[in-house]
Amino acid sequence: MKQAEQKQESVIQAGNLNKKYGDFQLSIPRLEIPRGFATALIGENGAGKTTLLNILSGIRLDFQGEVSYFGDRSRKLDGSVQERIGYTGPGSYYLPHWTIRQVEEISGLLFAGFQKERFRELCEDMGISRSMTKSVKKLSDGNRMKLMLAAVLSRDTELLIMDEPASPLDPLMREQLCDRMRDYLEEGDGERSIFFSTHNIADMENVTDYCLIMEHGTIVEEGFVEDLKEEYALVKGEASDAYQTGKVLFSMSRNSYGFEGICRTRDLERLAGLDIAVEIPTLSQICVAVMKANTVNSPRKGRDSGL
Amino acid sequence: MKKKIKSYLVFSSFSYKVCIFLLMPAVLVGIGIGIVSIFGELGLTATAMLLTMAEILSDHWLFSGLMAKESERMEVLRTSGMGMEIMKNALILDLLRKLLTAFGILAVCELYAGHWGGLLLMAMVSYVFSAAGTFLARYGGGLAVNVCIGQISAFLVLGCLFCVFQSGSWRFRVGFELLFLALGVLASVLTVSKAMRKVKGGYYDQ
Amino acid sequence: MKLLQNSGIPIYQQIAEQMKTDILAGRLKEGEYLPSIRSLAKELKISVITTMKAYELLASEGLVTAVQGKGFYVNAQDSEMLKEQHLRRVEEALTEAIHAAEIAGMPRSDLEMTLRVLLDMSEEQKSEPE
Repeated sequence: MKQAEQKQESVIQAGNLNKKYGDFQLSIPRLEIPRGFATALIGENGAGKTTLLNILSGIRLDFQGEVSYFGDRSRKLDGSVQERIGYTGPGSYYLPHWTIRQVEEISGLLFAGFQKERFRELCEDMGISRSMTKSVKKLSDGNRMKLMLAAVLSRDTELLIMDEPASPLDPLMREQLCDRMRDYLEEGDGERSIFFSTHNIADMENVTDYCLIMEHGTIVEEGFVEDLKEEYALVKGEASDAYQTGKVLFSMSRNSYGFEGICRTRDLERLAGLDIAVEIPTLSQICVAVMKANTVNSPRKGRDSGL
Repeated sequence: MKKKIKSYLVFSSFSYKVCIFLLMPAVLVGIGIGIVSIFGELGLTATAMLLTMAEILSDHWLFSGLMAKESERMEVLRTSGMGMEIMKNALILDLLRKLLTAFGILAVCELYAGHWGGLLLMAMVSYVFSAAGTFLARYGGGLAVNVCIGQISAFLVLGCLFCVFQSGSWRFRVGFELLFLALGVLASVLTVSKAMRKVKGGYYDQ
Repeated sequence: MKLLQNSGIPIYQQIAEQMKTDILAGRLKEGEYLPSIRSLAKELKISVITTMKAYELLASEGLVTAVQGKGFYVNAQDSEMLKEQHLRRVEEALTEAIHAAEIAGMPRSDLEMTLRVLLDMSEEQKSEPE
């Protein structure tokens, strides 16, 4: 039974999103982020992820299209909606000369639901409380991320929008981030959602429920992870069969020992009789295949990348 | 009001606050009293000049520094519905502080000089040029711009006060006071709205 | 619960299998609520959609029932129905064995003997001390 077929509440609904950024055009006819889950926006640098997240969080107002929140088509982004959203991002978010104490101060001024006690506890938990008087610009990237996380988790929110939260973190911290994300969703019991972007899904794969793959400003594939894993298959085989399989596979890489590629499960019967092994692909493998297929800008089927 | 004060104070570093609330007034009062004891009433005019210059210069470490640099985008303000209001409160309170500082410092010096009258005029002239100077300095350019504008404004202050005191006419004096009250309001409104327009510009790409 | 990453069986299926075993063995009692999909995901350090799908699989097999707003609770395991289910499985497995024997060219007598030998071995194992 496919997740998508069930009636799903959405936390963000958008239509006809358009924006010109740099040499590219953001063009998303329809966007629906499911409620109660962690959704990943996956794409290379420059694919348009930050542009989209800036629009959804209210950091940028120049775009065409409509966005509504929390399942209510009439609920547009305003102060009360922003109060329920927690954002973290890589840009110039705080004043560089602010100390952590001043960040605490401004957070209290900006958000009614901000709790100082909780903020201090979180800073302690994450190991940055010794730097209370240190200025933001003197913090390492990892610590700056932790600071934003602490500020956002000390508020009572229903949606986290995070732009590349894993990038500044080392592997241990990334796992802690995933744990905190699961905690956040669990405490919300279906009412809370997370929407985050990444250019490396492998680290966040076991916290991702729904994913959107973005290329050149458009969404090229989306779906619940479990559904995608049923729709795509990982095929491995001998080098001698590479040419023939290449016509069916979505994307493929090969060397003198053999080949490996992704194809749609429904196309597997076209490979009947060949000496192949079929496995369930990881989300990372699916993403790479989809992104490759779209970068080459050709019809999706059988493109031998000859790697 | 308490929240508005907090909004203003959160923008500056500890060292800035020490300078603006303690050092600057103390130094200016000291200089003011010093000049007054040597040169008499002229000292008051000199103090007004120095005050204007100090205000414009010090703004570099607060808002003109902020608005000039592209890197200081303060996206946090845009993720909240309160962001713009907090910025506006901070700007308004900064002007209020300038006004109160002007009155305060000059009042102390006048007290010392034992000569009353002209306080309103001097404070307003100093304030108007402080506000206008800050307004101009926030267009950008860095510390050097603040220094230049500061010095020019100081001389404009001198010029204005000189004109008024020379003329001696009571009606002229009052006219001037009213003029500078109006200019004070105008400069305040312009300063805040221009700065807010720049901050709101952050919502849009170039 | 042991979840294998690369076994070729989707994780949600592995979870469902484990829970099914627990239910049929009576370790999870009738009427008992399973942990919420999010708390299970948190504990196993996996995505919520995976636990959700596991529970839905259990529901489709009639082992649990979903209650809006409360979660999934264990159904009464009808012993008749269970027996039916298992009998059906026996038939399926034996049919598969017959089919395989055909392909291998195994004669009927060999097939019957293999079944007897395996039954004997299984009984021996059961009577052996652990």
